[in-house]
Amino acid sequence: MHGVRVVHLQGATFMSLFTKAWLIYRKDMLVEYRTRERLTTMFIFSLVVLVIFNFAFNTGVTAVQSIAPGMIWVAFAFAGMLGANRAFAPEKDLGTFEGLLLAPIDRGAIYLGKLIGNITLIGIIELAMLPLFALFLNIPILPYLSKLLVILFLGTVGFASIATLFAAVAVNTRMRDVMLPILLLPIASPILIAGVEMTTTTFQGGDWEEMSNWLRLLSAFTVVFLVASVLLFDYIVEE
Amino acid sequence: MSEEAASGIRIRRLTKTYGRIRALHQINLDIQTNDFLTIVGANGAGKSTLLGIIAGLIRPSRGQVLLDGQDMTQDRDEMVGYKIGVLAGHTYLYEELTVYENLQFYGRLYDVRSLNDKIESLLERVGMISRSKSMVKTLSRGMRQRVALARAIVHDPPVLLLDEPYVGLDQGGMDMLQMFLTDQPRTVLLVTHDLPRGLEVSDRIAIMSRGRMVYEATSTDLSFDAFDQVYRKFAVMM
Amino acid sequence: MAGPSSRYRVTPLGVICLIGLIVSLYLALVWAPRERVMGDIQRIMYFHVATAWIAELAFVLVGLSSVVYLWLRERRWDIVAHSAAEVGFVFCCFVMITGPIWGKPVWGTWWTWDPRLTFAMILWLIYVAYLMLRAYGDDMPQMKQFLAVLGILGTLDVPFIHFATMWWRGLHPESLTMTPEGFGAGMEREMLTAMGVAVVTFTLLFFYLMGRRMALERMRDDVEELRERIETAGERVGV
Repeated sequence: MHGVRVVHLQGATFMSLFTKAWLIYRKDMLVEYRTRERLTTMFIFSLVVLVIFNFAFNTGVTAVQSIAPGMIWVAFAFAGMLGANRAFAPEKDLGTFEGLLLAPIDRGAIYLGKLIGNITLIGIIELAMLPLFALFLNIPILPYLSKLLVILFLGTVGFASIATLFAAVAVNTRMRDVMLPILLLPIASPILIAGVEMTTTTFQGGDWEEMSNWLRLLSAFTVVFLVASVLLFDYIVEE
Repeated sequence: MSEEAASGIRIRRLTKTYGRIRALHQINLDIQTNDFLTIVGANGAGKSTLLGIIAGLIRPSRGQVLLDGQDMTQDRDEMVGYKIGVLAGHTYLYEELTVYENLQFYGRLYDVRSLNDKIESLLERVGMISRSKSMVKTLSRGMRQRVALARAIVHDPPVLLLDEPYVGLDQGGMDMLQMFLTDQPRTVLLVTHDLPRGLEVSDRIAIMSRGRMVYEATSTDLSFDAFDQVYRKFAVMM
Repeated sequence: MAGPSSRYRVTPLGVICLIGLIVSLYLALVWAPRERVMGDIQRIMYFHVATAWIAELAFVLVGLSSVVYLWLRERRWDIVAHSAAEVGFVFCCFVMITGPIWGKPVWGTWWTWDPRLTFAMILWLIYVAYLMLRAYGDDMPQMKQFLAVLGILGTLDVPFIHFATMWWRGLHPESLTMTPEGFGAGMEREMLTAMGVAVVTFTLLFFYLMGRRMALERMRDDVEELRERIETAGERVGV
């Protein structure tokens, strides 16, 4: 009796997926602009991670530089999880999520809208934090800036694609925020490994050639999990 | 299927189980186009589950729901969303956005034409035009419910689903709601505890108990007292 | 519904498994020749490899049955996924224990972030995530769907985790001489035989345990159904 979910690939429906996703994205950004709630918490969180990690590793300048890539990615991963959670939690609590489910839109549009929102916010945080990382960790960012931005962008998109999905799951469980890291981090480990490796290579002056296999891994991961998430999102929000 | 038979809402042997709990059991129901049906029943009777399935939020375990001849219980067709308007306990309004922005968001989501005019006329009808630039979080419960009503019908849905809409409304609000429900032909499914108001506006009444439809009648057949007796009889059994 | 006693019968498969285990233990611990370099401790590898393969097999099984479950929404596929996850987890724990036991005398350290072990660690964490979601997820209506999505994404992740852990720290596939696996030309015929027997035996053991676990779950369902029947019958009588 239960049919297989059919993926509409007709032109009109495909376009409307993005149009509706964009509507949701704009609405979220408008709310964020008014409250700045997610950005503030994500920023402070990243800052705290930066400071705490410095204490935790308690080493001299050069040693800190070698763990800098790891610190950067951990900070952004945690900020990303925080942001992803807040994409769904308020909607769930206030009941507005149901309003989205009732609308004549493909549920994948909700996922995409939230995804682009997460990518935007994490991106803003990353841009804000990079100079701070350079400052506190004494690492030269500018010579490697273009490479770093590309790596961060790819990693963020990949990470956000599963973070958004799992945030929708976590928000529906009793343990809420606690479940997200448990669900997300092991599955996201290839991204984190790839991100750290590529950042390390970049700081050592490496070029794209050296990182090509990581690049391919990241890209493949992002594509696979983005598509999978869009398709599977339906099953998460339906009772 | 003939045109007439194909329209309206037809529910056949609808069942919903959540693991061990059976929320709905073999529900059969016919709602003609522009019919007004009120469903009453104790908490946990399954009324909200029934609405949830018709609204497309919940996937049934067994059975069928046909909306104008289209089976809603197979693959979810987002087109159904255009036909259905919902007014429930949650207002579906974003607190950090203004009344106008909320209606604009939903209006666009539902592809409403001439949206700005539509919003203005709706806000006037619900008496909230003066607060259109106010943020929802500054409004009282009663005011929010009025805006929620506007939101529910911004896309002119032929089917309206209401889940306890009278809760939190002041007298003026309730009168306004009654007026809304009766001024335009629409298929309406109302779930409420408020028996008198339910009887006042509806064509038919049904009682649900423990996931089953146990009683149905046209409201003209009954006076309030007669129905009340029937209700109490079932209430004892609940 | 079959009578309860039929489920307690010892099946032929169970007997085969028992015999197989005894044979395998003998072959591995007594019959196979002593490894020249590592000594007797190498014998644990027969079981480590066998269980590692099954941990991965079970993982894929969770993913596949999750796909079928989302498609058909039949309880029994959810039971398959659940049982595969639980039994697979046990095997994965075995891998995590035998690895270090072998590692300490051979590498001089309990743990090393070598690709195989890291891979197993991440797999183990995803197993944990899955089982935690089962345990702490309430009886939410969507829970089975969440779990199916997690299972599917986990399985999709396997190739990515494989490559990421392999390329991590600059280890190239060709240079993996220190792996716990001693496949290929390096192994004598007797060792290969012992390995093969261990793999087959443990695979059978896995399916045997799966069967028992699934039967247990079905019994639970039966009990619940009985309970509900009693309750509704009681209601009708006005109890």
